[in-house]
Amino acid sequence: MRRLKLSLTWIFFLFFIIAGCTTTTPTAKLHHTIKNTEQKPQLKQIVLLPVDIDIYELSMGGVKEEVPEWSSKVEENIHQALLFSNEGKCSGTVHKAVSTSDLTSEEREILEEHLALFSSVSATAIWTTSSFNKPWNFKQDHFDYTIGDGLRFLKTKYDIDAGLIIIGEETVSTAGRQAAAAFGAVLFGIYIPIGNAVLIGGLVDFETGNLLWMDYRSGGAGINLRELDTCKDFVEKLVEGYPIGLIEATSDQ
Amino acid sequence: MSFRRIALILPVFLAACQTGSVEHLESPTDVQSITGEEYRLWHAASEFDEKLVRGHYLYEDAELKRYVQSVMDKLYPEYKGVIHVGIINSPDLNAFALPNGSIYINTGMLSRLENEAQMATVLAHEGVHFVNKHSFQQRRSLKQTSAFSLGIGMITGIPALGSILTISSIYGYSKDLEREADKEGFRRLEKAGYDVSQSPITFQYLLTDVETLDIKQPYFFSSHPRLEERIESFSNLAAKADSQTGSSYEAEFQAETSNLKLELLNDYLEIGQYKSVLLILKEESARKRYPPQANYYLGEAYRLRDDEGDVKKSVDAYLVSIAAVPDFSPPYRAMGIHYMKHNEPDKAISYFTKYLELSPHASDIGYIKNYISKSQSMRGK
Repeated sequence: MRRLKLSLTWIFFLFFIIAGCTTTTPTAKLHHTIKNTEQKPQLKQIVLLPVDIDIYELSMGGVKEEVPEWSSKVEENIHQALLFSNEGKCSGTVHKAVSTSDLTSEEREILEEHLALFSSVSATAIWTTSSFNKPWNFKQDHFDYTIGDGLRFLKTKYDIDAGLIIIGEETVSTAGRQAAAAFGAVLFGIYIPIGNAVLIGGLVDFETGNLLWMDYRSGGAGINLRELDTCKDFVEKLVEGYPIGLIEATSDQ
Repeated sequence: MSFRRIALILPVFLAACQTGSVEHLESPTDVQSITGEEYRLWHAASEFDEKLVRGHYLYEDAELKRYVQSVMDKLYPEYKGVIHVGIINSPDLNAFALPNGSIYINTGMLSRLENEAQMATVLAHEGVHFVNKHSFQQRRSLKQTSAFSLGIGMITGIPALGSILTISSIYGYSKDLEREADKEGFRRLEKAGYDVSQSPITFQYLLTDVETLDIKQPYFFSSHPRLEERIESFSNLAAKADSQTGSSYEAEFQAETSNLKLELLNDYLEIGQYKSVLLILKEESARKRYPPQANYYLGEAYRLRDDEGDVKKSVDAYLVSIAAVPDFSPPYRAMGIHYMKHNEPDKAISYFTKYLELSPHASDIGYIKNYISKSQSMRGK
């Protein structure tokens, strides 16, 4: 499965909104149809779609480059957290990971396009539902974002109801930059950003394309997603508001 | 500024000055041992390749691609299978090399060149950037420059100064690396049997375009000072060349790029760049390198420019196209519109009818039928 990237513009945008702040306030969004008791989706099978995480190293002067082996490691950690946890918030969020080798090349391409679409839609959704964005705050109560029904083939052909999407990135500073940041702060009172991490998660109903749930978490420098336990904790925070009880309840009906 | 502060900031400068030499590729198999920092650059380059494919930025003409690749393979035979050439569908004057051996040339650049030797000049130059790992050297240099800039910014208290130092090294490689690419690319041209006298002409040709059309894009091959450097560099190399013989393969190049040339003329008109079309086609010697249908596009360019006398020039050009290629339909439509505007409905209907006969499935068939109705109603008025 080819790797996807969050649009650079949206990443900077997200960092602008949440840079330096570790989010603790409730940010989870539920699709308005879930709140409507008559329209709740019936979800039996939920898969983890291909995780797309980019880990960058930031040089002393601010040159940013992706470290592919770190990115792979973090994606593996997220898989571990979501697929092999027997307890905690991550447990039961998904039934299995999607097997892209079972898809045709055309289906893989459609899936990749929709994952890319999610990165744009989620960035917009975060923007409109931010507390400072007053004109769009009605979206908080009437959350109706969708990535379209292009993934319906996953339901009709493979009998999968919904998919969990996780995207994000982390920026890690070199030791030189961290030292420069310390010098800058102590000697000159200058702030030099040294890194942060952000994960965005979304649960997509394949029948409609609706984002049934969406949330994000961010953290400042010092979070190391390459460490499994740290990554698990971060993912647990991300899925705090995941509608797991609701979905299990409907699948039992 | 106290000496204590400077002494404390000194490690920042020392870190910025750390250098390590970058080994050129000695053989194609060296690419298999890429690791660390260099691997990251390759990875980023591969992702860029994917983006170009998935974004449908590439010009899909298998035969043209095969031809351009064959020229690259002639220049770098030992890197056959390692250096891959792609053609980007863009009218801009641009060609670039990625650190993973992907080399791209724009359709705009290809359509401007006169022969294979000129194309080989550009490809040979870009190939050196890959073989000599100039991207990696530039990345290292950028990291050092930006680190140095950070230190400068801290001391002077003017962060903007630091960022200006960084940005000034971004467009194109350093002068030294570009001259290295010229020199080693030139050797490749000689060895492959190309007419090396074409190498400075390549850039003179591009410079004429840049100046005449007042092109201000930030690409290397659209940069006035960069092109002047190339002309000087290649002129010096050509003057010292052992042999002035060699082939330019003009006929082969014209045959392979004739369809592309017409498409680019159409693209230029669609984005309103009629000046480009006039620049390319105004000289008869240049028009000879284009298929005769190009006269239609020349006619369109005159029509869009609409200076005094351009109406006659446009009609003359359309008629040349019709005489040379009677079953090429667009000039018939153009003539029909001309006569409709000049209140000659019979002639307009005649040309529109011929257009529909030649292009019965044209996408603008509805419009043309409407014009015919309009012209019929103009009869007798």
